[in-house]
Amino acid sequence: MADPDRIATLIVEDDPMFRSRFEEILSRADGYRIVASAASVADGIAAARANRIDLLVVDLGLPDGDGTAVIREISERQPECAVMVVTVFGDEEHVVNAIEAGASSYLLKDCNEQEFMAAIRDLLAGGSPMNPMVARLVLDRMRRMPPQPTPASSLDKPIELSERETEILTLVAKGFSFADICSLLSITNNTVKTHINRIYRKLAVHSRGQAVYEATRLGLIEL
Amino acid sequence: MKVARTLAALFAYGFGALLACASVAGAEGVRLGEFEYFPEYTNAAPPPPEAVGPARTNGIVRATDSKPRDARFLRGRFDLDAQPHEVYALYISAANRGVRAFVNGVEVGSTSLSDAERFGWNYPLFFSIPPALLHPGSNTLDLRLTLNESGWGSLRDAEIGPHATLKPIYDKVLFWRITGPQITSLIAVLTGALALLVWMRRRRETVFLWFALTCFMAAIRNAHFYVSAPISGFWYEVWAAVPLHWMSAAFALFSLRLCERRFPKTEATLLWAALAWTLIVLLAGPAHIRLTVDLGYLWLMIVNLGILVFAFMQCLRQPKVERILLFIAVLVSVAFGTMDLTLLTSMRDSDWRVYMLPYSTLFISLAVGAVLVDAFARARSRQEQLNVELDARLAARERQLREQHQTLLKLEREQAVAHERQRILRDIHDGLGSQLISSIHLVEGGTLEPARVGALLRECVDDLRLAIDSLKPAGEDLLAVLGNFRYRMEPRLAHAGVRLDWHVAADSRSPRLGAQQILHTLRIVQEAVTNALKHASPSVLRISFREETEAGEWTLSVEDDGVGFRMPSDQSRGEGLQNMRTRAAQARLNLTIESNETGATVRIVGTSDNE
Repeated sequence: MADPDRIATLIVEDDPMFRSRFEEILSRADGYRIVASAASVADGIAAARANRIDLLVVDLGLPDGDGTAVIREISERQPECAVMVVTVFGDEEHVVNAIEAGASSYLLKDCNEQEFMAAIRDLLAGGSPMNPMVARLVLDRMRRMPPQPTPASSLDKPIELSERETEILTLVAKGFSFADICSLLSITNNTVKTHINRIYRKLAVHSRGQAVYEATRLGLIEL
Repeated sequence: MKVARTLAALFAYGFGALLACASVAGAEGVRLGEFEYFPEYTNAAPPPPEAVGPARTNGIVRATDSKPRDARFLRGRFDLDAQPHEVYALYISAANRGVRAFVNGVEVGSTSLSDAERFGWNYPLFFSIPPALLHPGSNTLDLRLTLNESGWGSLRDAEIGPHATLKPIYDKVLFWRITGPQITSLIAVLTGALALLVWMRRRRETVFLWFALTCFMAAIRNAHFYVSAPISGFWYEVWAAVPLHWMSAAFALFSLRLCERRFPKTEATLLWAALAWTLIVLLAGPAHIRLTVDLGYLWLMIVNLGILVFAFMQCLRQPKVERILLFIAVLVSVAFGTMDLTLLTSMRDSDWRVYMLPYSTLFISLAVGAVLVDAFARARSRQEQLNVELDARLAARERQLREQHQTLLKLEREQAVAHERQRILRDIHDGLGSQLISSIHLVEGGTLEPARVGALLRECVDDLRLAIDSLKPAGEDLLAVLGNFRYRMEPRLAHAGVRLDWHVAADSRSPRLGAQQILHTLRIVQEAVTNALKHASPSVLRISFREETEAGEWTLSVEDDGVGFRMPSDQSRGEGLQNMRTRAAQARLNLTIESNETGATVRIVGTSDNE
């Protein structure tokens, strides 16, 4: 029987070298328990359904589909699960798609062990990274929001970025680091992190709202 | 053809009705065909009742040694069986000059209140006779007839009878002689005005102009049948003759145009002849007016016969509706003109004395008007059909253009893709490729320690990332790409113990640049940063971006506080600098590199617009 105090981790990665590297790093670190290591979307979803997962480390390019399918499955059934996307070159389009599916952090594959664990710890502590190009894409996507994204019944407030969140994203998009932003806006590092985190969640909700909106528009569902 | 048939039927009907009416005249009245004539009696009052005129006449008299406005009496006698109870009337078919009528010595009427002459020669005369003036047995009718300049006087067909019997005859004759020509004038003026309007819009179609002139001249000429005005005999004759000449010339030219034929010499001759006759009639003056007018009629007869022959020939050549109608119209007008001439010269007699030529005007107006309307309608239909065809052709052309445009767009896209592919290939070849190859050489040479190999490969990956960044949708945003570069470089700089100073104004905007320019810019920045790290051992690296002016000029600089360098001394550094210069030149950016012992500055200046 597994130790319930340790963080239940699911790794979904098709490249055996990277998979075993992630496994090694996590098993060396304290407090992590690898529930399963899947090499495909199907296996990943099966593992996610069979177990309670605290942390999902997922690659996006999988042989039988897109890793976002696993993310979507997990974030619907186990919304508390932290999702870390690992990509080769930080392809922003895919990263943003993954965020929309429910991911809350991303990491480049060429990172070293320290960077990897730092990112995981940051994620579990509630922090999310944000780089300039992702920030730009997020701004673009939120700007393209339809006038009436979702009916008011399903959500308390309309899904749009607050002024402060937009400001932060704009600064990030211009290459300012979190530290720069803290001093520019006279806020603490934690506040920035909270904002970024909220942006992640809004993006996910927004994308669902958008999907609902599109479906309504096309007459696929009745509200 | 339908138009022609309808018109012919209409005309035949009108003409037939006219002839039918004429045969009715003369019922119940007493017609006075012979008069006693008093050549020497010049008083204003009629001769005494018992006097008997020394000469006999049928109504036409000629006095020798007469003065202008002289008048002579003609006396007729008629018997009545009993004293009539109804109003009687005197009807005179025509008189060439003023007439005063006396019954049993009492004046019953006059063509004018004064003695002034009236030229209402074509008007029938009608005077009521109170029954009290008449008595059973023999009665006398005295007619005082004004003579013309040559001493001629004429009146025709005096008839006395019950008012109720003669009035309808008078009305009918008045209609056909006066009202009819008035109507023809009106129609001619209207048709002519219409043709003139058409011509004013379409100046090259002179057929309308000549037709309009024909109509106007006909209207003017026909007016002398019904306008009675106290003007001198000479001008009256000019009025009757001159417009007829111009009308014939205009009609001849119209006929030629209608048949699309041109005979410049003949046309000029016709117009000159009209002018000549005008001048001859005017210059020869009152003394020779009869001669000039009659000779003119002879010429007109020749002209009209010429038109008739021409129209006939044209019908034979190509029997088109308008040509046939033209021929019929000319034939009718020649026939009517001949009939009028026989009436005028007393070669023919008629109870009603209706001049037919005005009616030929009517026929010509209607027939030709119909032809023109028909031609207009056909032209309209043709134009509409043409429009439909044009629309179809235009649509086809548009479709073709659209297709061509699509093809062009596709080609352009393909070309853009090809360019992009070439750019990526060159970049991979020059950047990543050469770096990998040099790394392989270093590794195979065995002179490299593993940590150095890792660093080399990392450089390769960084290089590749820059290339990929510049290809991304957000890659056209220089600041975002630059920010990403910072995001990736910062950990490495921190690792090397270098602090990064990031100087970008929070409100600065990214300049508009192409992907190629952005990549070159990034590569220069990367080269500058790498150079500084490799060679200058700086403690601070400062990257700043400034928008200089409203014109979109911007400056990007990389400064370090390292040891600096002297340009030619360091071989590998020299290559790096050369590389930067080449890139700047390719991207049309202004590059300056400065170095001294307190550090180096690489400055890129560009403008937003130099795509």
